Amino acid sequence: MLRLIGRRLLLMVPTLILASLLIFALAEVLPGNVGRSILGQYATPQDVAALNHKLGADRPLVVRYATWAGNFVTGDWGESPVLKVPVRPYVMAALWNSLILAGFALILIVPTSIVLGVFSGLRRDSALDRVITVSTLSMTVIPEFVSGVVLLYVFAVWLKWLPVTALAPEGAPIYERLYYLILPAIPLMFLELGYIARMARVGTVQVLAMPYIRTAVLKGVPRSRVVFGHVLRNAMVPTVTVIGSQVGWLIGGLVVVETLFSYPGIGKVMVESALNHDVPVLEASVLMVAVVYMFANLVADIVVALLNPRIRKGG
Amino acid sequence: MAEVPDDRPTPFGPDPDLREESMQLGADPEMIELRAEAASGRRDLELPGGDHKGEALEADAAATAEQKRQRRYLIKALLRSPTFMVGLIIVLFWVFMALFSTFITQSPTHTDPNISLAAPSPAHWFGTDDLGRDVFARTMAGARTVLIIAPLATILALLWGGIIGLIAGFWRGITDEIIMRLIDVLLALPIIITSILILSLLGKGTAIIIVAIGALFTPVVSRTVRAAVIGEREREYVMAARLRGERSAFVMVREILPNITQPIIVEGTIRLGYAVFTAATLSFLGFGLAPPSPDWGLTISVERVFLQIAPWTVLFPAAALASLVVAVNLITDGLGRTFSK
Amino acid sequence: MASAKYEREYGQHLVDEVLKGKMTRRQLLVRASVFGFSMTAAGSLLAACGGTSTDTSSSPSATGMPAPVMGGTLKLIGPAPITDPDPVTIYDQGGIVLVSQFLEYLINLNDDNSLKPVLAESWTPNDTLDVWTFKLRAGVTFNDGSPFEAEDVVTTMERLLDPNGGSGGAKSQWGGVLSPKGTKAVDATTVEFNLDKPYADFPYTVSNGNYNSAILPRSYNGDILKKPVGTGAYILDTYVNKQKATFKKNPTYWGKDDAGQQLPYLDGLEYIMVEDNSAQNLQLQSGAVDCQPQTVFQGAQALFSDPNLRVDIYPGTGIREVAFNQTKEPWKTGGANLCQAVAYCLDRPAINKALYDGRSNLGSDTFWEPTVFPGSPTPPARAQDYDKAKQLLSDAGHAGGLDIELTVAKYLENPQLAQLIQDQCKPAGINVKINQMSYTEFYAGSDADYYGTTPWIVAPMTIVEWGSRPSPGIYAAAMLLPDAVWSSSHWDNKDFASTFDEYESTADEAKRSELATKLSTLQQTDTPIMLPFFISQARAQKKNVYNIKGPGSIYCDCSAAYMTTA
Repeated sequence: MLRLIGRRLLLMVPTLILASLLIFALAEVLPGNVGRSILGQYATPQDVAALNHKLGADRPLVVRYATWAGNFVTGDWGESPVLKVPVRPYVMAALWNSLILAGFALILIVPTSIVLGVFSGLRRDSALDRVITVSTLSMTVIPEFVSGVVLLYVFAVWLKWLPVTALAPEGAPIYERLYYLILPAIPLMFLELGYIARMARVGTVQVLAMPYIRTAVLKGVPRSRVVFGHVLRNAMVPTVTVIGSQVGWLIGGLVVVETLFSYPGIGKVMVESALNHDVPVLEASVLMVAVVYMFANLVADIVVALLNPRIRKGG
Repeated sequence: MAEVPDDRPTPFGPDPDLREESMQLGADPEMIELRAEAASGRRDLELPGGDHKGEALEADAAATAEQKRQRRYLIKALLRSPTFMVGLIIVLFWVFMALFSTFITQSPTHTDPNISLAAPSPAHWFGTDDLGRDVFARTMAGARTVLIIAPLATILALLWGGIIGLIAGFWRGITDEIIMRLIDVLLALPIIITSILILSLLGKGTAIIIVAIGALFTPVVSRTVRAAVIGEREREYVMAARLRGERSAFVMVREILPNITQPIIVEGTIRLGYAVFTAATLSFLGFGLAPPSPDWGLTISVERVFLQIAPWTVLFPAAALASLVVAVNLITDGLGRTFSK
Repeated sequence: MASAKYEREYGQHLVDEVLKGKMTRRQLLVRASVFGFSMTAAGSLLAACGGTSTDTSSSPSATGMPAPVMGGTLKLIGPAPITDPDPVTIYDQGGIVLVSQFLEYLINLNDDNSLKPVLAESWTPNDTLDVWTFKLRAGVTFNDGSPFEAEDVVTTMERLLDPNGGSGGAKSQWGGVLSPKGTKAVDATTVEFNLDKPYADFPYTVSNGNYNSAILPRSYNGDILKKPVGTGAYILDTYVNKQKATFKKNPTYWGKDDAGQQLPYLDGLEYIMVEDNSAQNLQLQSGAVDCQPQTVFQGAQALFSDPNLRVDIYPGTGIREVAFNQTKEPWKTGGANLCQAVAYCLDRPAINKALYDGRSNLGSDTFWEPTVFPGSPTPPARAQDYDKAKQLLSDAGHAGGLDIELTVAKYLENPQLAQLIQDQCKPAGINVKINQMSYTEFYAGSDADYYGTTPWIVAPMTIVEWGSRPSPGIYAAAMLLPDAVWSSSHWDNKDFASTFDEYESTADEAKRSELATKLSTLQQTDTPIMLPFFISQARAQKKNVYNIKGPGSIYCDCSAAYMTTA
C-alpha cells in the first residue's frame, strides 16, 4: 500500500514536468502574443514590441521556460502580465471555486448513480433496467450548453425558483453557497449519471455471476445481506475508479458551465489565459488541474485496493 | 495502476490493471471455445512437415464453418435486440438525411429576414432562425457534418490508439511504462486546453477537426486496447505462436487483434458518441466549422441567445443531436448485451 | 487667437447658414458646440435664427423624467476588462465603462454628437484652426485632494503620445494632427494645443470619443487599480478581478445639477462582470442588476417586451466595415465597378431587420450619413438592384460570375452579416466563400510586420467592427485616407485625400458642406468599403433608472443618474 502511494507520488513529478513543457511549447504556436493581447489591435507595432520587451516575452523559449520553472518550484508563481495580479491567489481562488462546484455535483451524482446502477444490475434485462440505462445514457449526451441554457431559463427566469448566477454574495454561509450551485450542478449530473451508473451496473452484473455469490444464495444467506455485503463492495471497484478519473475532468472541463452561469472557475481561467498568451496563469492553472486529476486517481486506486482484500476474504 | 496482490480472477480478468470501461471480453465460455477453435484450426495448416492436405482442408473448412456459425449467431442475436435495432434505425434515418435531405427539404441556406424567428407553421415545420432560414431544412442537413466527422475521427482514434495499445500491451516492460507515462501526461491535461492547442496548431476545416478529435481520443482508446491485449497475451494460442517463433508484429496483428475486436468495437461505439458530443462542443466554443454550415453544435451555439423568444431554433437541433448520440449509445448497449450473453 | 471676435464672426456665419436654409437649428447647436460655444452663447444664436427656440436645458424635468431621488446603489452589468484596466491602453468595453466612472475627459459627447464641456469649460480655435486654446474648469480637485490643473492635461496628452508605449487608439485619432510637445500649459487653467495641421474636428479628439484621453493626475505611473485617482463623480472602492467592482460617491465632486444640487445623486455603483450576453440579459430580467450599458440586439428581443424594463435607443455611429482590399484581386482589376456590383446586391433593410430588429439606420456606403451625423449631405440611397449589379459585374469583366472570399472573425454578429452577404450575392452570380476565424487569429500578426500580416488588414475582403466615432471625418481619417494605418481597403484616392485636408482646415460651414458632398460622392463612387448600416446603441435598464447619459455603448455616464423607488 505504502509502496503504491509512494510510487505514484514519485511518478507525478516527471508527469508534471512533461506537462509544463508541453504547455509552454504549445503556447508558442497560438496566434498572437502577449503584448498584442494586452494592447489590442489598435496599438502600433512599436508599442507592442516595447511591451513585449518589457515583459521579457521576446527572450528565447528555453530562457523563458527555465526562468519560469525555476521560480515556480520555489513558490514564486509570478504576476499575470495581462491582469497585473499575482498568479497564485488568482489561480487558487478559481481552483477552489471549481472544486466546490465539482464536489457538490459529485455529492449529488455519486449516491444517485450508484443506486441506479446497482438496481439496474440486480434486475438485469428487466424493463426497469432498460429504462434506467437508456434514460441515463440519453442524459449523458446532452451538451452542457443546451441543458444549461434550458435549465437557466426555466428555473431562474420563468419560475424564479433558483438564482441566475452560480456565485453567492460574499460572506454567504455555506448552505447559501450551495443553493446557488444547484442549477449549474444539474448539467454536470446529466453528463455523469449515465456513465457512473453504467459502471456500477457492470460491476454488479459481474459480481452476481461469481460462483461464491450463487453459493451464498443457495446456502440461504438473505438476499439483502448478499447485496449489501458483497455486491455493493464489488460494484464500487469500477465505480470508484471512474469517479476518480471524472473528478479531473470535472475540474478542468467546466468552461461551458462557468460561462453560462458566470462562475469564476478554473476552466475559464485556463481558456482565457490560453487565448491571451498569459503564460504564468496558463501554466499554473493547467498544472493545478493536472495535480487534482492525478490525486483523484490515486485516491480512487487506494480505495479500490482497500476494497479488494474484503472481496478476497468475503463470503 | 493498482498493485493488488491477488491471483484470483477479479471481475476484470487476471490482471487488476483491467479496470477500464470496456466490456469484458467474451465472458461467454461457448464463445471463447468457438474462437479458439477457429484460430487453432488455421494454425494447423502451417505446421512444418507432412503433406496433410486432405486433413488440412477439412480442418480449414471446419474452422471457417465455425467462424461463419459464430458470426451468424452474433448477427441474429443483434437483430433480436430491441435496443440495438432502435438505435440502428435512428442512425440510418440520419444517414439518409445526411445524404438526401437537400433534395427533399427547402434550402438550408436561403435567408429571408422578413420572416426571421417565426414560430413553427405549415410553411416552416420547425420555424425559422434569426436570418429567416428554415430550421427543419437546417436540422436535417446538420446531420451531414456530424456523420462525417464523428465516424472518421473515431476510426482514426481506434487506429492510432489500437497501434499504441497493442505495442504497449504486448511488449510490457519499459516500452509500456514510457508509453503509459506519456499517455498519463496527455490525459492529465484538460481536454479543453489540448483542443485549443491542437486546433490552433493545425488550422481550420473539417479534415482538421477529424484529426484533432481523433488525436484527443487516442490516449483513452490506447488504454482500453492495452488492457484487452494484456488480458489476451497469456492465453495458450499466443504462447503457441511465440513458441513457434512468430514475429511480434505477426502475433499482435494476426493472433491477438482478431480476438480483441469485441472490446474495440464496443470502445469504438462509446467513442463515437463522445465524438459527436465533442464536435458539437468544439463548434460551440468557436473552433472549427465555418458558416453557413447547419452543423448542430454550431447552430446551437449561435442561436442560443434566442432561446427565450424563439426556442425552436435551439431545441430542434439539440433534440436531433441527442437522438443521434442516444442511438449510437443504444447500439453500444445492444452490442454489449449481445457479446456478453 | 481672436476668441471674442471669432465667436462673433463664426456665430454669425452659423446663423446665416440657418437662415439660408442650408443648416438646421440642431446642426447649428452641434457645430457651435464643437467650436466651443457655451450653451448660453449657442442659445442666443438660436434666438437670432428666429422661430421657436429649443430648450437647451438638460435637467430631468425638462425632458419629462420624474424628479431626481438621492441615494441608492446602481448595479451595472457588462463584460470584465480584458486586461488590467490602464486607461492609457484599454480598448474594450469593460475597461472603458470601468474607468469612466471615476475618470473624466475634457469634453463629453451628447447623444447627437454635440459636445458638452466637462473638465474644459470652453475652447476656441485660432483663425487657421491649428491652435486650439482650452479654458479649464477652475476649482476641480482629484479625489486624492490634489488640484486639477493644466499641467495634468499636458502630462496626460504627452503620455498618450509617447512613441514608446503610448496609446494606439489615441495616436490614431491624433495622427498628423497632434504630436508630442504640441500640448502646452499657458497657465494653471489654460491649455494650448498646437496642431500639425488645421483640423476643424479637433475637439472631438479630446472628448470621451477618444476614450483613452481620460485626464489622469500628473503623478500617475501606471497602477490604476492601486491608485484610482480621478476627478469623476465616483471613487473606485473595491475591485475583484473578473468579478465585480464597486464605487462610492465622490464627496468633493465638482458637478452640480441645474438646481444647484451637488452630484452624484447615487450613493454608489456596482459593476458586475459577466462576459456572456445571454447571461447578462437573464440577470437583468431576474432583477439582480439594474442596467446593462451595452445591450446587444441579438437575443435582446425579450428585454424589449419585458414589462419591468425600458430600453433606450440612440442613433449610434458604430459600423461593420465591409472592406474590399484594393491591392488584392479581384478588387484590384475589378475596381469601382466590381465593388459597386457587390454593394447593389445587398438588401439593406433585410439585413437591418435580421441583425438589429430593424432598429439601426441604413447606410449607403458613405460616412456622411445625415441620420447619424446631422448636417451631412443626403447621399443617393442604395437599394438592392440585381440588374444593376449584373451590369456592373459585366462592366468589370466578370459577366459569368465570380468567386470571392470573405474573411470574418467569430465575434458579435459578424458571421451573421457574412452569411447574409453570401446569400444575397448568389442571384448575381457572385459566390462568396466565408473564411471564419477566431477573434484572436483575426487580429494576430507577426511581430516583425504586424500590419503586413494581420488578416483584418491584409485579407481580400473583410468585415471589421468599429465602435462609434463622433464625426465622419474621424472615421475617414482612420480608414479611408491613403496613409491610414488601419485601412483594410487600402484605398488610394489622391482627390479624396486633398479634399479631406481642405475639409478639415476650414470653419466655413458652407464650404465644409460643399466639400462633404464631394467627399461623400467620391466614397460612394469608388465604394472601397460597404457600410450597410449604422448601428443604433441600446441600453436596457429597469424602469426606475433614469438619466444615464451617453449614447449607450461604452459611454455610460452615471454622474447624474438616479433611481426612483417606484
